This record gives sequence, C-alpha cells and structure tokens, in this order.
Amino acid sequence: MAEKISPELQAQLGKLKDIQERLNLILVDKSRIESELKEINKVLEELSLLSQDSELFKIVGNIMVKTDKTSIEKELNDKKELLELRQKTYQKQESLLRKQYEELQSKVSSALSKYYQQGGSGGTMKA
Amino acid sequence: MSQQAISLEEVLAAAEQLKAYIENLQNVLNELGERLESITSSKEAIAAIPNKTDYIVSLDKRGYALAKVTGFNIDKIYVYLGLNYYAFAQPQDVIKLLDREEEDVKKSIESVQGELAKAVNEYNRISAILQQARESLDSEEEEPKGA
Repeated sequence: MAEKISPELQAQLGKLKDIQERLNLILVDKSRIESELKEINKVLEELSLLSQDSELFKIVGNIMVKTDKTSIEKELNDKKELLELRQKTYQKQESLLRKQYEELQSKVSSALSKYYQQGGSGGTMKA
Repeated sequence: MSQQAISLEEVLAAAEQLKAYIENLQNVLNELGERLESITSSKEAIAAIPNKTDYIVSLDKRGYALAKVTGFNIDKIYVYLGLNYYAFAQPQDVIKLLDREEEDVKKSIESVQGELAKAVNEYNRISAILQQARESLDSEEEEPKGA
C-alpha cells in the first residue's frame, strides 16, 4: 500500500538521512584520529622509557634510516598537535550535527505519530 | 508505554549488519591473536639464544633453504616501537617493551572478546525473532482457506 507523504516531510526525512550519513563519516574519521593519537602516545611513551644509548630508526619506503630521539619526538608532537586540532573540529561538528539530528527527529516523529493517530493512509502526511 | 513497530525487512537488515560486524570482530581477534603469538615468539627467542654462537637460519618460511650464520650477535636487537619506528636496544629493554606490548594486546583481546560476545547474543536474539516470524508465516499459509 503506497502512502502519501507530504513533500515537506519527504524533504525532512531526506535531510535526516543526510545528517545521519554525515555523522557516521565524522564518527569514522574521529575514531581513526583517536587511534592514531593513541599510537603516537604509545611511541612517545616507549621512547621515554628507552635508555639514552638506544639507536633509533625510521622506516622510509623499504629502508631503515637512522634518526635520533629528539627528531622523532618533534615529528610525533607536531603530528599530535595537528591531530588534536582536527579532533576538536570533529567534536564541534559532531555535537552540532547531533543537535540538528535530534531536533529534526523529534519533528518527524511527531508528524508520523499524528499521521498514524489519524488512521494511516487517509490523506497526505504533513510535518 | 509506547510501542514502536518495526518491519521484518528492518529486522533482516539489522541481522545482516550484525553478521558483518561479528565477522569484522572475528578478523580483528585473529589479527590480535597473531600479534600475541609473534610477541611471545620474539620473547622466547631472545631468552633462548645465547650470544655470539653459530646459528642455522632458514632463508624462507618453510625451511627449503638454510644458511649458517657465524658470530651471531644479540648484544642489541631491533625492536618495533609502533608507527614507522624501530629502536636498536639492549635485550633487557626489548623484553620490557615486548612485555608492555603483550599486556596491551591481551587487554585489546579481552575487550574485543567482550564486544564479540555481546554481538553474538544480539544476533541470536534477532535470529530467534526471525525464526518466530517465519514459523508464524508458515502456519498462516498452512491454514485452509475459509477456515
């Protein structure tokens, strides 16, 4: 049985789906950043525990290049700073999208419940 | 109390999604298991190998070709730190690092196992709902017309 949904509600449902997809993408990126940060912190911690005479190497392509503790720490701290900045941006975007999602979801839910209270397919459903 | 009805298609989609999630968790668990095995094997090798001895090493995974290494020196060992970095450190430092890594991997395994158990329980619950729905549909079809 085909049910008539008002164009307004249709648009809202589309927007709801769009917000959900954007939110999912942000959550995936955020989780990737979190795991990168975790890995960076782990390497920094291991570096701090190694004795000063430990030689350090970085893999570049297929070769291992000798490097030093200070260079690695600087490289990792720079990367960490950048990732933390991106993490904050994603957190802001996430909370904004969540708010938009909740507001729109409550509008759509109330429109749907009104529609079902009126007996379902009778007439056009409006938001 | 308000009840929200969901369609059979939605339940089926949820079951499919959950199945994919379970497979993903099982893959992660296998990978973590391999990592743990590798760490244990490294630690055992470091502990077992006496320094400055002659060794026979395999040139391939299955041992088709072997080579003799003389004056094998393990005063220092290359150990993976994470990301793109290795350290050339003393065996005792390497063992400590591997111990920490082993603990981390074990914790991850426990966490993934917990998540997997939850997902499997949920999948079983959804499967039971689907089975009930199927039985109910079958019994409706079996009822004679006009009964």
